[in-house]
Amino acid sequence: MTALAGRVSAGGAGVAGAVVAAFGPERPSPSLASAVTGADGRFALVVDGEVVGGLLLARCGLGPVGLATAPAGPEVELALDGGPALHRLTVVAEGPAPPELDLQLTPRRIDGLDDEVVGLVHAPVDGEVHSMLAVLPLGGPGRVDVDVQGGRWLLYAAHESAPDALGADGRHVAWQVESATVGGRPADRGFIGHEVEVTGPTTVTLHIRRIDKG
Amino acid sequence: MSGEGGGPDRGSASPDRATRTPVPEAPVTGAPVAIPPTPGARFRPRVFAPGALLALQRSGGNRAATLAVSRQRDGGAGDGGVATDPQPGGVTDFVTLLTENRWDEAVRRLGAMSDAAMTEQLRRIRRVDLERLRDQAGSGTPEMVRVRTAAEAARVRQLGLDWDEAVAAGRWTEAVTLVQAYNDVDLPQKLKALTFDQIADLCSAADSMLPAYQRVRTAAEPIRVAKLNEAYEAAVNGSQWARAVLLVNAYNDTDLLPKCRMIQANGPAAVSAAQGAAGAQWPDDNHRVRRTLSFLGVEALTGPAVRTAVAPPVTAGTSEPATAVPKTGGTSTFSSGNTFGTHSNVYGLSYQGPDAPRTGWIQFITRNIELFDAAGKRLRYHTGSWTPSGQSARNFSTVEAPVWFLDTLSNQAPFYEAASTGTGNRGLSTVSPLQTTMYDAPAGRVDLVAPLFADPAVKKAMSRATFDTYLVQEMQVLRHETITVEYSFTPAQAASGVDPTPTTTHTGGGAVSSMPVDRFRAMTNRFPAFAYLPHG
Repeated sequence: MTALAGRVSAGGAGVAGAVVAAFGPERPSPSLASAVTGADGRFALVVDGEVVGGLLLARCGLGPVGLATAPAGPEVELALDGGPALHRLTVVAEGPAPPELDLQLTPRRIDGLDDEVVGLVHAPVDGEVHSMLAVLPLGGPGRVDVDVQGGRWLLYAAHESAPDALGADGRHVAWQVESATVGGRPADRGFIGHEVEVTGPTTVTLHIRRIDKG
Repeated sequence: MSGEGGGPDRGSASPDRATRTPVPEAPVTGAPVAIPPTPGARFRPRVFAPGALLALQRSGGNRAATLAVSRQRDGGAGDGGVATDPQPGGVTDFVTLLTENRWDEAVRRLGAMSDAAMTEQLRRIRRVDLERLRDQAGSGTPEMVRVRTAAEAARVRQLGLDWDEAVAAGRWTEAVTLVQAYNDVDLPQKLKALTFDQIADLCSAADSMLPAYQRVRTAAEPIRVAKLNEAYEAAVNGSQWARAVLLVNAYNDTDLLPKCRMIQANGPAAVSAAQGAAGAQWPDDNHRVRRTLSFLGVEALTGPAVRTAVAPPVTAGTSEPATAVPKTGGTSTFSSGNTFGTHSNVYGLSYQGPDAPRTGWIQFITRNIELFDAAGKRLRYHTGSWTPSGQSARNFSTVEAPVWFLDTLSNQAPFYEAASTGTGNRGLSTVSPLQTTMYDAPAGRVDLVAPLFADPAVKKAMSRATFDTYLVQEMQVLRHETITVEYSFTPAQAASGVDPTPTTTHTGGGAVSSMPVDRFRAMTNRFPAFAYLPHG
């Protein structure tokens, strides 16, 4: 048994709600163990056997959004801004966005982190796989302000008021991002959603359209 | 002789002869032996001194021991003693004739007695011996007829006393054997004298006895029902709900609902109180009385009141051959490729037949999204939840372990086609006096599938909605149908924001009489009052 502990931080402050997972030397593979940080950003987890060549990965999606990694050890500081800097990302919804519309984002690249490490964002942790690193409410407030690490980010937003039981009114409504702009210029389309380079404070406008499917 | 009589074959061998109770054998050692009362004798239990009966048995044989016991019963010996010298002409002397099978002499001696003496003598004789004396006397001479008549009268009297004793002690198997001896006139009279609880116990005992006692069971049934009616009505009229629910449970399935309507006639508060009493009596909510009372509580919402006539403009697609629905005389038909407005690929389930406004569909849904890699190998099932329009959030599950949710837009009843109160919605349906048809076209939920392709390993996603849909009529579950609507997404399809054309398959179904517990719970989680359908 190996006890691993430490703290996840950003700007010196603890980051609450981050998922910290321990991975062995063979990757990609499911995590060996995981824990969620407390209000002070601290975590503790236990791995069966020794962890030689393993690493700890913090996935932060509730406050500042990004990944932090370090070799596995008994006391580890995982600083989101230890390598790549954090930048303010502002996403504005324009158009008829319903309250249920969420912004989903996940890194395609994070400056200063290996692609292999970034790929671990999709690795199974406790049997669950998350396709996106963060899901933040967009439709209600109409905008999202979040600190993210420098790099390339995939942004996705869509919502359907779709039936399981087909109503007598036949109603089926979808809200999708018709286009996205960054500083007035069109954002790159990803194979889903849009991709945005974040190198400093960035504002993205998502143009929402309502589609009556039924 | 009115009110009492011999067996059904009066004058011939009595049917209860085979049931004579043997005298207990004496123990080899040990404590005094209490001799219990037996159906054929009236006596108070006496106690033999330890070893006394055994000694007598060894010296004089079983018959001597039997005689001693008989004397005990007849009061011919003192407590703890064993009489061995019968008084000539006395009671024990007469009993000796019987124990030694000297029946002719016994009859002659009786014939020589006055009526009073003979009656007194016969009162001390066991019933089985009275039968023998009756038969032995025959009808050869007036004296013999007199003995025969007296023996029969004594036998009947003894039978009545034994019956009374068995009833009072709750020895129902014995009571059945005794009352079986009465003729067709007297048998119902004896049974009518019982209370409902007594005759119910007697019937239960008879149910577990040999077919030879079916005569008693058959005679008891109308009396049981009449007394049940009296007792049940009294309990309902007295608002004695704990007793009322117990009594109503004694009715058969045909009568249960009509009888429960007597409670309903006392108003909703009475139904509610009876439901509470039934819940306290039977923890299992699948109990017939609990389900029936539950039905009465919501009966108004199970028929035409919520299944109002409606005929939306649905363009028919392809129908499978109709299937007969049990018990109703109607049919069930699955169709696919129907069109409603901009919705194509609409499937339908149609009941056509009698009582259509009282017949409808209860649908359950489970969803899963299965993710595959480039080689077509399953990566995993998506976890998380979805929220269909007009209904609450549900969790995705898997093909192997589906989690079911009720699928209806109605806010007042669990049926798919049920109307809502106020401005609430209603599942697309066609309802008329001749048919109840539901239509559905679940979305593929591209809004939920598309982000799953953010994982570069995911190259294909199968979004499935599976339905288990039950045809019900009042308290009956008649059929179920299983339908799967499957959407196959590629990354490009997901990126388009449009659902692909689904594949709809009618994968199963058939006649059923109940619904699985997990689906029943899914229904009652949303509509707790609709707990009346059989499940398990």
